[in-house]
Amino acid sequence: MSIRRGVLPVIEELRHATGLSDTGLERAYAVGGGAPATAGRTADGQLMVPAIGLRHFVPGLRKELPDARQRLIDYLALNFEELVYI
Amino acid sequence: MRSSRSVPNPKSSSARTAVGAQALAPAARIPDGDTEFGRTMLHVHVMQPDCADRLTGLAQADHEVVERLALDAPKTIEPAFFRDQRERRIHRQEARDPVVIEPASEGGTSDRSAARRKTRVPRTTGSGSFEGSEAWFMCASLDGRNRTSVRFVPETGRNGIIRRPIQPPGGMPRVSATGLSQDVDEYRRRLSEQPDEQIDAWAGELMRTCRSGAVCCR
Repeated sequence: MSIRRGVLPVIEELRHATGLSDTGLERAYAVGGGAPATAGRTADGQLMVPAIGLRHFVPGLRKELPDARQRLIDYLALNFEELVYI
Repeated sequence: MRSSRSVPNPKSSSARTAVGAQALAPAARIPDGDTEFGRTMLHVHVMQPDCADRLTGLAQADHEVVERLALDAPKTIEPAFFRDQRERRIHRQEARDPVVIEPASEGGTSDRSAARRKTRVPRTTGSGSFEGSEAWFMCASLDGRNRTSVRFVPETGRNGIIRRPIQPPGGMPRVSATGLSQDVDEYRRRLSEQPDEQIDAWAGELMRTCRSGAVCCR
């Protein structure tokens, strides 16, 4: 999906599903194993990470949020029109 | 008792009077171009030009007779095993008169003759090109399955049938036909029944990429 739609929409949906700010997402990215130096900002000031590093958000949210399971389910449900797993 | 007269050494300096082999002088000399075998040979010139080593002014093809039979009736003298060589191929796997039908689960008919009357796909030509066929059909004819999940049934000879993917006329595939969730509520309910590891794996997969052509793509 990061290939089809780009990294920014993925981060935007993740921000909407988790309720975290860019700072919180950047922290979750680093906690999840992403290199902090690879997280940056665009010219508009939006959070940007490498597409291959998006997976680090998942373990990061697990450690940062107590209700990470429900947030991740919300994120999956947000993309119901794009991808259905079950 | 040894003889008092000894045999002289032919290699010694005093062998002038010794006994030795002596080549006889030939009675007549015959020209021999190849003396490897030690006997005279007849020279055979592969090229025997009519004229000497000079430029040929007139005819270049000497003693050549045009066979009118070969020009007038080439088919009659062509060997039988040379005919239709250009039509031969090692692998001939294209479908003959294939038709496109809808799966029976979507209201399609299982009658191939009726389906053939309904939709007919142009067959391939002898040289392998496709006339008027679509790209996905071209992919389907190369093998049993192609990238767009179009199932190709090559085992039926002239009754080859290409099945369309599960897709309604509107264009969007029907998720319900695949057994997936029909709406968000059901999808959320099914997700809540999954373990944490599965949720994490799907979330990571969703963030990473969406493989085009998968059944679950909507």
